[in-house]
Amino acid sequence: MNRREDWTYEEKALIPPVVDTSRLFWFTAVGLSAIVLWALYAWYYQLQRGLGVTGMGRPIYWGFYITNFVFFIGVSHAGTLISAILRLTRAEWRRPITRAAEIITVAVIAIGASNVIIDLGREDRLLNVIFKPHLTSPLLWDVFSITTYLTGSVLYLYLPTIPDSAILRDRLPHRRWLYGPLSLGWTGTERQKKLLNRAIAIMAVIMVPIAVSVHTVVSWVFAMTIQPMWHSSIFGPYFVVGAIYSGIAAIIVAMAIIRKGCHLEAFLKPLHFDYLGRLLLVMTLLWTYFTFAEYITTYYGNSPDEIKVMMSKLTGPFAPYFWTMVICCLPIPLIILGVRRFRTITGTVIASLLINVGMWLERFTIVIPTLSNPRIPRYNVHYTPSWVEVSLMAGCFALFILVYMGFAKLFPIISIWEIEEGKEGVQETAERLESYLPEGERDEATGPPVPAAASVA
Amino acid sequence: MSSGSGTTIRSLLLLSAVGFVGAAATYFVEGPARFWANWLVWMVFGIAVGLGCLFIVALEHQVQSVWSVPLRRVPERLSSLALWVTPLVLAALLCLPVLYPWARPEGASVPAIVLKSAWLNTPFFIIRTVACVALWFVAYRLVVKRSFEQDRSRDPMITVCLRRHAPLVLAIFALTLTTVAFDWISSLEPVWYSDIFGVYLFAGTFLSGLAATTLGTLYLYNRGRLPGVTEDHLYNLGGFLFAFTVFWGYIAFAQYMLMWYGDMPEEVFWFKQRTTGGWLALALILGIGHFFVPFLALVSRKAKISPKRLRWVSLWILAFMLVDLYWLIFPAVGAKVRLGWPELSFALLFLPLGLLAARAAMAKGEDTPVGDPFLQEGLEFRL
Repeated sequence: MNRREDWTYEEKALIPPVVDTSRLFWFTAVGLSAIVLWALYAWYYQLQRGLGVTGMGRPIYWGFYITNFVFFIGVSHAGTLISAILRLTRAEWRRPITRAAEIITVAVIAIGASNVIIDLGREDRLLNVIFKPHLTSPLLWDVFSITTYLTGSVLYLYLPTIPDSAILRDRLPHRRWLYGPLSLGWTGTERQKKLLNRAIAIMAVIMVPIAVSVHTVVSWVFAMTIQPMWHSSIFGPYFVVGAIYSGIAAIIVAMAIIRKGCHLEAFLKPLHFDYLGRLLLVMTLLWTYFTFAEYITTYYGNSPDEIKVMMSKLTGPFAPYFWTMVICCLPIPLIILGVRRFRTITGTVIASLLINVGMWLERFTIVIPTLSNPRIPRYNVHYTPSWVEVSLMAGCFALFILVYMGFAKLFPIISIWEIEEGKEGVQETAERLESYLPEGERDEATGPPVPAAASVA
Repeated sequence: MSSGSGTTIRSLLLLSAVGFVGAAATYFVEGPARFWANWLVWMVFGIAVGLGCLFIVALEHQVQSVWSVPLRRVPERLSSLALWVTPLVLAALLCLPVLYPWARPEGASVPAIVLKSAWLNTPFFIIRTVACVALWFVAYRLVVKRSFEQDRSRDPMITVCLRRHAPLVLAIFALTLTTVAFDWISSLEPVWYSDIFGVYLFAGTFLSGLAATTLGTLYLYNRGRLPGVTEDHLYNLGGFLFAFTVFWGYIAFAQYMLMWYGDMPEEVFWFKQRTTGGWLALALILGIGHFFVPFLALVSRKAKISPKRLRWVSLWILAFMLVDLYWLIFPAVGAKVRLGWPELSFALLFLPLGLLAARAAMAKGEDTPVGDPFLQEGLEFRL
């Protein structure tokens, strides 16, 4: 039973990456751990000496940390929203993608939220938000929504791993101590399957509004101040769109790495990159609409404070960041993703990397220029991040990759049972389609059935 | 049958004629401001229903959705309302000096208006309006017209072609609808501005399109003219109505909450106007009627497949789109809530005309896109 030759095709392909570890993996893990340790030292240094070791000061009291926070929480929308929406719309091609996306979510929410804690400076006062709550403060809502989101995402990630844990429990006896409890006694009966699918569907429905509310509340932390160019009524949906945009880009990059690293070319096909590329194209256009609406309305409103912030981005000191963002997020993705010939794996990965750079810069050019141009110009400061901030940012990215790699050593990065379920679905469809045909022709028409076009609506 | 429908047409025309007399009387008795405000409400309503349907058609092609193919003829037919309404839009250009402070000479003395004069000036406004109208005709040609041809030719290449045009139509839709929102509604009070306003009107427009599509679908469904369409298709329509009711609530809340909390004089006055005096009651009715009622009415699974429930909720949503427009437009022209014979006259004038236009539209082509290669697959859609 436990000899590899008895395993199913999916198990043969997807279990080895969990148990077999290459030398490259270890090298990468050691390198990343070193970065994380260095970041921990930087944090210790900051705790010892206070926030003065950062580049922040009055009036620029938010810098890299909050930029990272917004960026990471945005990327987290990859998992929940994409996987939940693809599940709810029954897009069959989602099957090899969902797990990889959901892990991104859980990993980056925790990392994103910890950036706020680092930004506090006085971590010992962290729980004051809860013990001395202010219901009108968006910061409190942030705590509510992000903890709800983290809890929900962990559950939403965990539920679909149950059948896979059961498979691993049966296939890897030496790890039974781990997968036994995690699989909750899964035996794959019809009743269990029905309950599980129902639970996943309910979680998917719940996660969509939670994810939208999280990034809306994050945006309102800015918009509820009356700072120029933060106080925009569009910020909620604008942030949500940006979040989904960077989230899809993150999935594509992660998928490309998994595909090469774990040799899963058979599962993550060019088709998946093509479809995700199309979604990314739609998001490019939506993002453009929102960005355009934001800036054209500022121009139309023509209030002097806001124009000052806008001009500091368009032509002033922030112009290099702003225009890099525009180039990374608009023309290049539009060309790569819009022309079918370029929408290959390499093409979508290049576009995605650029989009992630662009979206980080977008968060940066939202946070810093407004703070540098307050309504009452009392100070004249320029923000440059210190080595502490840069180290912690590097540490966050390293930690994210490390957590991701670690997860891939615990669970198959592609859901085994969902792929098998998809195959069963294909068989059922083939039988149904055959039953429409006249009896005599059946033999000729037993070629592989054509899967239905993805119905996203 | 034909004499019966003749009577219906005649009585609708008669009602409309009565409305016309009332509307004309409004102009002379109540003054041009009230006349044009009413005109604007019905004009934007017509645009919302027509463009909403056009958007549904383009969206279906864009995402290559299959379940909705058997229902597509309804939004295709009703999207022609966007073309019917264009004379109203062009005629409304006459109202610029009446309703819009920036188009009047005294606008030149208000600094907040002068700052916006690059956008808000009469020649540019007319150019934008004419461009929008022209683009609607282009969009209709691109994504609807050839679908009717397909009924006869059964040419699958037409589907490929329509799908290819969809992104362009969606871009036209986004640009023109945002322009309508800012030009025709927001600039009634030129000092005020809200980045999200285009999205706000989009939420109402898509809902109106969905409601009209649902009503048209049920009309055919109840007469057995959509063979093969099942409760599963209705469920999806109900789901969409539900989802975008929530979306409207989200956008409306985002706009209100941020401005109320920020309390900046140049923006909060707009809400203050709309939440004091009689307008507060209307604002509350709008919030409850546009969000809570359809939300609760559609939340259960059973509700989304009940034709009866779907019909009244769709009518309700359309009615509240009108309330929404009234609440957006009327406070700009008068301090008090005024609902009287002029408003009734305009309803009598435009509702029957709209129904006649919808009736004529609903007779176009086959009831389902019989030439679409995905029709069979769409009919087989099951939840």
